[in-house]
Amino acid sequence: MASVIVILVMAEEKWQEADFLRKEIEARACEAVILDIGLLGKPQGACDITREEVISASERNPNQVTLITDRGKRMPIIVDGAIQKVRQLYSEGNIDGIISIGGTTGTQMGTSIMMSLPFGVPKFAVSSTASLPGFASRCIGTADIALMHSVVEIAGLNNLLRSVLARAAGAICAMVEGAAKVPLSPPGKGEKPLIAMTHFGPCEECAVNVRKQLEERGYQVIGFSAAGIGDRAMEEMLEQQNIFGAVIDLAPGGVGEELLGFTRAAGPTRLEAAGKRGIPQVIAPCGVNWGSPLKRKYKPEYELRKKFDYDAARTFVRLSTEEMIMVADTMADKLNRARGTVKVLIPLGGWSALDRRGTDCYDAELDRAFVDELKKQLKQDIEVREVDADLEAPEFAQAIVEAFDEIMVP
Amino acid sequence: MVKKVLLVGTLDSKGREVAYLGKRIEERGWGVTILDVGTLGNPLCHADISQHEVAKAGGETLSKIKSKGDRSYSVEIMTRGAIKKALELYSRGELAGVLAIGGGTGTAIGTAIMRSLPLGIPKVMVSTVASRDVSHYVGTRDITMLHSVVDLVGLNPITRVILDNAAGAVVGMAEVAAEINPTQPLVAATSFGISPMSAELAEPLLEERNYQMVTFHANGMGGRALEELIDQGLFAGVLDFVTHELADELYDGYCGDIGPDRLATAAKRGVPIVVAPGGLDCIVFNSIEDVPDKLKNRKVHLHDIRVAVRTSKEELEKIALTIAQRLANPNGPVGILIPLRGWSEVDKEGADLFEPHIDYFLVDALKGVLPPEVCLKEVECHISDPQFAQQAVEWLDEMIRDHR
Repeated sequence: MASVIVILVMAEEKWQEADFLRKEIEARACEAVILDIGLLGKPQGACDITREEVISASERNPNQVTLITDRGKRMPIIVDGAIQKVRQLYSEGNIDGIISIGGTTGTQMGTSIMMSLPFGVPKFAVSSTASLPGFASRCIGTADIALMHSVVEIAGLNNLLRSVLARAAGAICAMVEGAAKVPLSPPGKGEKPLIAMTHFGPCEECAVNVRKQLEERGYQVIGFSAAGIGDRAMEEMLEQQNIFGAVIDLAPGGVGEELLGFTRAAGPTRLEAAGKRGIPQVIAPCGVNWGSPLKRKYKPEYELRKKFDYDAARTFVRLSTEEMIMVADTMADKLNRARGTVKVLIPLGGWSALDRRGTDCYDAELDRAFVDELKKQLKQDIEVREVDADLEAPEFAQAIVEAFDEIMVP
Repeated sequence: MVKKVLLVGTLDSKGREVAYLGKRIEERGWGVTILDVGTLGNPLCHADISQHEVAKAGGETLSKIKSKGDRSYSVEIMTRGAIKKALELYSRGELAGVLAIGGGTGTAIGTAIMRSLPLGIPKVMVSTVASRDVSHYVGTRDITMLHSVVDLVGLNPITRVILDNAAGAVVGMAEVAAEINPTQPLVAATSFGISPMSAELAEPLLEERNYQMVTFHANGMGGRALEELIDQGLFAGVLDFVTHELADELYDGYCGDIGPDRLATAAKRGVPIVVAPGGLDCIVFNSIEDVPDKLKNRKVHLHDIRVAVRTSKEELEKIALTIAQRLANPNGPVGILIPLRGWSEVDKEGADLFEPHIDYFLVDALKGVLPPEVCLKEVECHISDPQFAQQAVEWLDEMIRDHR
């Protein structure tokens, strides 16, 4: 059976281009399905899944939708309906890959729809606005989407655009062809489970050390960068796919960043998914005592705090005692709800490479305020273990591995 | 010579992943050339172009880079060296496409290599930072950013899915014989959200005259891309209907940051060009909060969340001066075509910003400052009238035929 690739397009503007893409896809022995995500205006040609079908899949009254003439108000209805359609195709095994073409609006809608498909299903967006500042962050989020810049407008089948679209068709077809047909599944009998681990620049040595020891024991370690996107993606994966056996959360700083409205904010549900599923966790506090507010949003009092210029784009600011206590309360609340084993490990010699004992940014008193509050708020059966070393020291990595071995005992 | 896929990564940290990609690409019938841009440790897999060769091509020895221990310096040298090596492969006709993997640094190096290669060569960047701001990585090039979601460390069921998709993408692109070989001469045109229909109306008229039209979205990046491709010699002529970016550039609107070459390349390269004032009736801001205080008393048009603020006499005079400077000493025919009844969908009879008497200050100012070689014509209509597109196309066609 031929693989099916869905083409998302606003057919009142770019049907002709979608039709070209369809032919290119069919020339590679895949089947193409054009799904109209148009807002207003008549489609320029026939679509396999019409706008009427999309609207009715959104479960809104088509007669009422007809009366909406505001593009902005139609967008969520179309996106919603298209998500229903795409999910239905997926559950019937009738979608192997998805591609969108568009400018700002078409790409935003297209990528929102793609995100409803599981990780691993090839997703490709061709966009004339791919390189606008900030655009990729809005469209990609935590999804495994490939975003191709068309350079020229997706308007009119000239040779430049043909070359771009033909390459996009080649890419999505070959991605579909090479993609694993078996969905991600938990490791089989006799295999060690997958371990999710967050890390972050200032705890790299610890992460490398822990990974090495776990791999020697036969585990596969999946790393997530705790910069606000990767850690969010980890929470989503934990929630949606039952493939991880344990979590080593070295850098849960995204909890505080979210609370305080800083740039590494990892969403309101950070630190919750593993607990919800009952997956055991080892937690360390790398980065929890630092915040990364936008420079232009600095409060005057930040000027007085200890700071660390990490690179040209990032400066970290030490949290205040009040902020540390607030973060401790929130983390305790989240961890108290966990259904699996939780162990929290605190290195007494500083929580990252930036604030090791002996450096300017080390502040034992501040760190202590957090630990005391956390202990006060945590349930009794959650162990807080203090280790007399800094987080990057081999002793601390050793302690993490020991705690890991303990939580993996069935 | 057989074309191969160029695979780029820091092999000291991502050697296993690069080797896996190489294997997957070879299974699909393509050869690979592995290029190492790492400088810290020893490579974890074989490199066809070693870190030593790359450093040398960048003008430094690897041991000197190592002993200096300066990250940004080593990135600079390795980037320069890798670009040189990639261009050598390209000029020998051995490059089927580029696939690079990396985090922040790897993405900076990988995309710098890709940006040095012409449009049409497959370019896929697997990156942990693909869902951040990628504008400076992608720029004006046809790069595909593939978000890795997880860190690219170790081969596991999740990284394999990402790497398989990446190998597929670059192979699929390489299989498309994507040489841009125009059978008909290409004409570039600019368009814009609230703008005129001019480009749309011009397309069939150009086709009648056996041209193909390529449209650029004049939003800052689109204008830059247009100038670069004019410079690559791809176009027989240019219909620059929308010059709105100049207003945003001068007055901090959101389509600014257009670089010094916007509007200048065609005249410099001797490519015939007709320029119109599309969208110069307004400065556009991303939101009402972005409108500077001193413009708050102006007439405005609320687009979606974006806001168009009416340009004034003084601003139009300054814009006229910029236009004149950028079109100075042309090496080919340059025409300016001004519609007298409005320059955008918000500057037309009955619309919020319709002020033809203010618009005319641009014409007055242009007459005073334009170089003598540049010819200015006025048309008594709106920029979206079919008559305007007609006249622009006829004029450009005439220029192209006379210029041959």
